[in-house]
Amino acid sequence: MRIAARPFSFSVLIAVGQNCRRLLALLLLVAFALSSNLAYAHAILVEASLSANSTVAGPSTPIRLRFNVRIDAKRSRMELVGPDKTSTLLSATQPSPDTLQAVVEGLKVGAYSLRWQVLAVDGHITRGEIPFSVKS
Amino acid sequence: MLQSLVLGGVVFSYLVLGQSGAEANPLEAKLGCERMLRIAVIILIVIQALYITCEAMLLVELTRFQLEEIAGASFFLAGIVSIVCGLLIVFVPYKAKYSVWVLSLLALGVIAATVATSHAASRLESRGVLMSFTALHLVAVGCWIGGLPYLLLSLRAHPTPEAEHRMLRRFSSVAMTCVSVLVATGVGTCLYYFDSLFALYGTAYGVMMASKAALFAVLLLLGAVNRSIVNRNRKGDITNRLRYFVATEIGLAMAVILIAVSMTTQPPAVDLRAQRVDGATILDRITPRWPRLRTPAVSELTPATRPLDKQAAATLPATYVPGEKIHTPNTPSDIAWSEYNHNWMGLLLLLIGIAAVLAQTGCISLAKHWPLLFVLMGAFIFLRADPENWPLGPNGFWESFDEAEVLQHRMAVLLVVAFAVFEWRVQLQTSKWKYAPLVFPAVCVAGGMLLVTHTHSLNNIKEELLAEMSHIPLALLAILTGWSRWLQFRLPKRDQAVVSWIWPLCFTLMGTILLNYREA
Repeated sequence: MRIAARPFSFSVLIAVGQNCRRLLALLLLVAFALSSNLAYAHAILVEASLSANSTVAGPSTPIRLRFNVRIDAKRSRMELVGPDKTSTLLSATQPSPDTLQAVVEGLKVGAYSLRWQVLAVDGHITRGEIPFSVKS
Repeated sequence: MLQSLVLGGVVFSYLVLGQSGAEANPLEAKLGCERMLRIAVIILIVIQALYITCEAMLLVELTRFQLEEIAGASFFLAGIVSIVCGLLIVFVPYKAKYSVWVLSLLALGVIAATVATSHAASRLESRGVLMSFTALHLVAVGCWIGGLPYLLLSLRAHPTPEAEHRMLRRFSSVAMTCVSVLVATGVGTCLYYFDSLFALYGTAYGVMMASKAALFAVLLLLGAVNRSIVNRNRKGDITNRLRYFVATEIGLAMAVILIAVSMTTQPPAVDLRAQRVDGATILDRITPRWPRLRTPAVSELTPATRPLDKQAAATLPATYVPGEKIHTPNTPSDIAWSEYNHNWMGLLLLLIGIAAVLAQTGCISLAKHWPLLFVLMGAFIFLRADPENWPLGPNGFWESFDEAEVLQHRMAVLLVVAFAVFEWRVQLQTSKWKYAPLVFPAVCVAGGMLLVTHTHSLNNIKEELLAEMSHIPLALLAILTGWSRWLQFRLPKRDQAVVSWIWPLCFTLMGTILLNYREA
């Protein structure tokens, strides 16, 4: 059976054009949805028991960090970087929904840095670093 | 926005369309709304699944926790709730008697999942009140803004004029109620997130809030115009005018939503007591002064250090997001270079605005070539935006493409030149492509939306905030330019009088703002 070739039809182009418009509208909606889904709240540090570049007396010191919002303490952490650049993960507790607390022991004289990383309720991570030094 | 579309679809289909009588409910409209609702829900499911997957993988990488531990986090659980509600919405039979209640509950479930990861849910004080305000706010946005696309779709189904009028009046009542709820909950939330007027202008959150309020006011004005068209009920008004105003309302509402989303990346103003910018500094910065029309020499700029090296050497702020670009202070020569660039761009935009105004009057025929001034602008951006790269700096042309900011600038140049060519041909009426007149509005709106939603530092850095105070008005004016130009093309000639003057005036205002731009 011979199938007659159909002449080129502008209605095909119009249909393709209409579908392209719908596809473009869909793509724009997806792009808009993606961009509007990516922004949520973040936790910021509002109060710390250690201030940046301060000096503390060893060998132990309590650390308390308070944030502006509730944090997910189970998925947050505090890390101490020592004078020899080695880092130790601190065992943090959560006395209140917006606070992380730990006690650092065995501090020797030298420059340290406390690195914190918290996960806010919205799922976003924020970080910070507090350099300090220990005197004898 | 997708949550709003889902809730809006349910409310419109059952409360507006369903209650407007059988004539307003032709099968085409009903099926169209159901199809749009299903598409919105499917996109929501896909986006949410992508989001929680990518976020979980990122957290595994950053926190070194296992995926099973991350899966217990609140954002993950909220995302799962959203996905499950979405899947159920897809499979609920829409024609069943109980479907309106089930769909409403599921749509509210999607909203509740959003509230669970909002600012309000993470606050310590007044959490319940704030979460209630946020939930009501999102429901009102869904019923009003989310219903607009369905309204537009139903108008195209050509119901009888009486049924069309009944449907519009019903939607108008829903919209009025939603506006009242939006204003009340918005003001209520502000009472908790702002401790003083100082917080409104001294923080990035406050500046974003003010811009959201300004655009919301424009949206209300447009809504009032639409309501008066509905009340007057003149023949031909719906087809010739209302449809286009509703489409513009959707576009402006999307910009408001993007601003709101951008605000959520910032801590509420009440949490930034120590870092606020005072009124005297702001006043000093915006006081008009003679623009900088002479450029510092390239040799006076800081050494051509690649931005990545600068970042490595930068001091980390108190709080930052991993991967965030750290603010590095500029030298006086760098500041002078940037001010010169912005002031000359302002001069160009002012000339474009004046030429566009003259072209509108038809007094000077040469004025219709104003789009070619954008080619000059593109050349200016290409030469001056990245002085460390070719042709002014030592870095080669192709070598410079490995930095995202340089790539953005080069793409902006291409966009500006393409825009100039398209619009010039539209002005001369030589373009045969029927969508050519839409390039101008599309580029303006896209540019404005990008500018209004770029990310900010969490630390409310003074210089960034002061720059924001010129960027935000520019973004809002760009959005207004785009939509007024679009309306000029769509509305009948007798209705173009007002909108045809809005966009040239916006250009002139943008030029004036940039002429006064300063960084010190």
